[in-house]
Amino acid sequence: MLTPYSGLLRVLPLLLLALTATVSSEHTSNWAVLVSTSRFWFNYRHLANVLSLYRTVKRLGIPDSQIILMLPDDMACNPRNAFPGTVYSNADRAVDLYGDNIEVDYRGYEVTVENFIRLLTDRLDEDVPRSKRLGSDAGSNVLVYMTGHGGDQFLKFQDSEEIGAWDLADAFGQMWEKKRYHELLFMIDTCQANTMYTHFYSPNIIATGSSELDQSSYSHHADNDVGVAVIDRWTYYVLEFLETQVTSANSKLTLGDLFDSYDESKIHSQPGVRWDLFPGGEQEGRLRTVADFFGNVQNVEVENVNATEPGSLQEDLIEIARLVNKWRARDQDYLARQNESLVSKDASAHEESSLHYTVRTKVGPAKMSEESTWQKRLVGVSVLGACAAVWLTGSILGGTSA
Amino acid sequence: MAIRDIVANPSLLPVLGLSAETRDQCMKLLAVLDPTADLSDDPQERALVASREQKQLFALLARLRGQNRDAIVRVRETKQSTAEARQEIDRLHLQLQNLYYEQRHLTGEIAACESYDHKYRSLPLIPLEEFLALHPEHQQSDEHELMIARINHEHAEREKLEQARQELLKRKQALIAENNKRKEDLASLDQDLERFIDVGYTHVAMTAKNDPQTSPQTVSDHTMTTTTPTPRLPPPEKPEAIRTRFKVIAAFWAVIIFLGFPIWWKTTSIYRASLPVPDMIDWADGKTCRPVFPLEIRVETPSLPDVDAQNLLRSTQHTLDDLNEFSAHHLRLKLSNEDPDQPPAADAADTALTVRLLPQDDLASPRAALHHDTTQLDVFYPPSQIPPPSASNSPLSTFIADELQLLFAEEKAIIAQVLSDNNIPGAPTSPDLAESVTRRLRRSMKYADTYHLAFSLFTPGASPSSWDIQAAVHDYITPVLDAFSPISNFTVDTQVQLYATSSPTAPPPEYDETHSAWTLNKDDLSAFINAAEWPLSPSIGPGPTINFILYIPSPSQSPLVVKDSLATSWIIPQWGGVFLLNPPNHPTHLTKETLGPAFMTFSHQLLTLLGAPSTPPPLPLRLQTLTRIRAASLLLSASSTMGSLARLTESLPQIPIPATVATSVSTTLSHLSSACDHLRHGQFQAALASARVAEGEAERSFFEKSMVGQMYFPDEHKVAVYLPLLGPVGVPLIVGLLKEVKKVVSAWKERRRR
Repeated sequence: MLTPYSGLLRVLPLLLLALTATVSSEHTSNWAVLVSTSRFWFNYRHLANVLSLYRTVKRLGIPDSQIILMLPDDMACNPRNAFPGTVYSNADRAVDLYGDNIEVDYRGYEVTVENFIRLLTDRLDEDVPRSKRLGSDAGSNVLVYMTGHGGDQFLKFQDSEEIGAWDLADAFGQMWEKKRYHELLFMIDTCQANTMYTHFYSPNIIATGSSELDQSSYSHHADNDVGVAVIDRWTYYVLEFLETQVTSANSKLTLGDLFDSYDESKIHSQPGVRWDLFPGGEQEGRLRTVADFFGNVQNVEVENVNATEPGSLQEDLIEIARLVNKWRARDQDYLARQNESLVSKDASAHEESSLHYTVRTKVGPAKMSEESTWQKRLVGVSVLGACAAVWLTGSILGGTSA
Repeated sequence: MAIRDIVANPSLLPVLGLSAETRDQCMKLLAVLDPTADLSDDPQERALVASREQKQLFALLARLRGQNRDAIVRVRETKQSTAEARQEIDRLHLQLQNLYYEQRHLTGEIAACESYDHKYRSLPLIPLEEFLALHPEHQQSDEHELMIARINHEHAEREKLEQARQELLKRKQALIAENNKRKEDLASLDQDLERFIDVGYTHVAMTAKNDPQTSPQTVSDHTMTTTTPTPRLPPPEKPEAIRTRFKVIAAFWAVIIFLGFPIWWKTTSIYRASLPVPDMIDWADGKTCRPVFPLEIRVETPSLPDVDAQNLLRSTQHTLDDLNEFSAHHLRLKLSNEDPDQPPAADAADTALTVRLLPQDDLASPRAALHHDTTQLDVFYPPSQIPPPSASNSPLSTFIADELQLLFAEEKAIIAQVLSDNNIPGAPTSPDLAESVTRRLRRSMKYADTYHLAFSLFTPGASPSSWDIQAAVHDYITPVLDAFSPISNFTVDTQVQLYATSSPTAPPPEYDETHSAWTLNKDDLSAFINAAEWPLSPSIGPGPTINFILYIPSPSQSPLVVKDSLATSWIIPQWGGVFLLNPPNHPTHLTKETLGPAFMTFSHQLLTLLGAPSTPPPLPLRLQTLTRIRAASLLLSASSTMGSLARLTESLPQIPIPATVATSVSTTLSHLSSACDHLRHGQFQAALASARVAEGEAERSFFEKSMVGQMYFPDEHKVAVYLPLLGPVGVPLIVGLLKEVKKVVSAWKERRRR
């Protein structure tokens, strides 16, 4: 009788250790940042790349509020688009990526390096809506996917500026400092993509890219009716894996499986993976499931009606009922006192005042500035006068000397 | 006659004859027809004759035509043959011409070959006789071989001569080099001489003063040596020119140093306000403040004499201290009946719990009961258990200590967990408690100043289309929100969404016969919310949204419950809660009473999501505990933000730090220390208020908008920007400066040598 008990005692710490280990590696939410960085019709494929991935992560359960989609151009409404209002990533045109439920968070000229860095580090204006913010925290797994035209350690944004590998590394470094991610999967499809993650230094990042230094990433195929290439090779094969093998958010396929599916003869470049920032390195990183990054974790907790342990639904309900009753009594008491003191007032007014929470009312337009326009005018007149005086003295002096 | 003379061709003769005959016939006919002739004849006869003659003429004419045709045919034939013959002749002629050209070319070539002027003919060879004398073995050889031999001989001779020439050339070069060197030596000798002369002059001048007789001789000697020819030098610079040049260079450098450099420095430097980095790091490392939680517990002993009460208090405190393993969190007992009317001192600690000791006669052992709506614990004890003044331990004090320890066990575990999350060693807690605490912590939302509560009614059909939401919120949610008001602010939004279908990938509910209900699989609950289509967008204001979803299943799928547990609600960690409401007979309007259970559940979910502990049961106590937990976690999170900011500013030298960040940091640090002080004194409400300010300021300083670092510029880029600009300007300036400095230094040395 004693031996099994002591055996259990000996096993218990180990068990608990294992339990805490699993606990520490768990994440509580999923975020995706999907960025295309190029504009213009001939870069149709970059937007199609991003939209395909958007569709996939949404299918696997990440809600729109946790997906930041950055599209620098609107291919669906491009006048050259032979199929207005749609974007396709395959010549068979089976799936319209634009669909009727798509939330583009940053579009057009909002897609800049500065905005991207601000998004990652959350250094945004206070009035920026939450849908345009990356609200991840220490328990969030973040997927960052970028595509566009790039080169050795840079990625072009909108043909006008670049983000360097250093900037990106610093942004992730700041995210880690502020505990804005738990684990981060960085994917990039551009020429010489693997150079973009060489400078990363913050831990818990797995990075993968489409091509090595001095290698181009190629498009997969063109749609003759659309008239341009519709998807890039690496993204195409990643998506092929995600769409055909990862059928639901409960899929047990791992990142190792995803990276093993890379076929250089099909991709026409050498994709790279960086494991060294991940604790446990490649061995541990390969065990992460694809759904850890592409799906949405929701460990729902069903509340058992019959449970009676402390903190359970039933206990709380009793407490809340008590609180509600007390509140109601206080309310009535308050109402009674109101009635006594303000008999003349309307009943409706009483009802109004009995509501203790404030109902949000619409705010009318307000004047933006408080400074007086006269002050500005005075300043302008004095500046003009000073200029005129300088000019006059100059011309007088010049006249006398000549 | 004439024609016959000309035409000699026999083939033409019959034609000629025939034509003559015809002509005669014509004449005859003409004669016949001649009107001037004898008219005596019978006109009929004459007509007969004429016609006969005409016939003959026709016959002749026909023959003539035949002859003519023949002639034409023959002419054609002749032409044909002539053309053929001519062609043949042309061909032959062409051939002949070709041959002629060929011949001419060949003769030309032959002539060229014969007249080719070979080099060897013009070679100035040594005469034949001499050659033969030199090489008698060629005496017998023919002319050709002789010539070859002669040429070879000549070649060998010439090579020998060329070699000799090269050697001579080398010698010449060496001699020239030596010559040059000598020349230079000479030139330097000149300079030496000049210097010598200068020195000599001064010497002479000095000696001349002393000895005027000898000086002319010396001077003339020296002038003789200086007359050696020297290269012409430019006229020496005037001293004022040298001075002007110095001034110009100085002016340029003055502009660069006093104007250009400061402007460059000012415009390219990044403003970095100075931050108290060591302080910030100390806060983050927990060196400045170790959060402690001294909980003050008032003990009311209305029925005990003061001495006994003091004694009981002391022994209970002793037991408590012995029981406690976590030094940061400890309970301090205090007797309350000292002076109830006196207002509490400004730095008095908050009372965490009031223990009221009440004697009860019919009890064998002490018994405790918690008040539900206040922070009061009633302890009933048999009067016999009052410990004697001498006893250090008694069953009653042990009981009270145990009871208190139990009450605060979870709080202690949570605080230990929060501290250990921030690398501050906490107390060892029992593993299963720790596990449940981590689970609760993971479930709860991150702290925010303001939370948005969004209550949404979703239904797959058209009804119910309205709900008594205002009253429901007022009755069931507001009490909880009011209780939470010291910790956070709340806003409430509501929405009704009809025809809200679940996502197509979500598995549909199954009908369960035994419970006569539709059931959802527990594993599929995470897919229950159709994130893609249900409008659960976060609100615009700052702060996170907590979603509460009330789902009314369609009448065909009602009642809807979770499989096995038959629960109708679940919590989605850090997101919100879901309640499946199955109202009887599917109303179109949901009354407050129908909504009651749902909103009570939402209140409970809100408690859980906000991180309230599960024990002890009374809400006021739990809220107090939450105050302490929040104060601790805010203190720690603001501290760690300070550390992050400090490390960030050190690791990114290019990031600007505006002054507002510095002020925010100092505000944060001061509020942190005041929060820490409040904690030490047990004033948890004040500590929470300070910690909230500190957290807000810390977040503001870290997320300062203008603190986005410049784009990374590698150093080679900077060189590429500056070099084309500064290179052309800088080289003459630097060279000029160097020259001036050299001159000054040499002048200075000169002066020192003298």
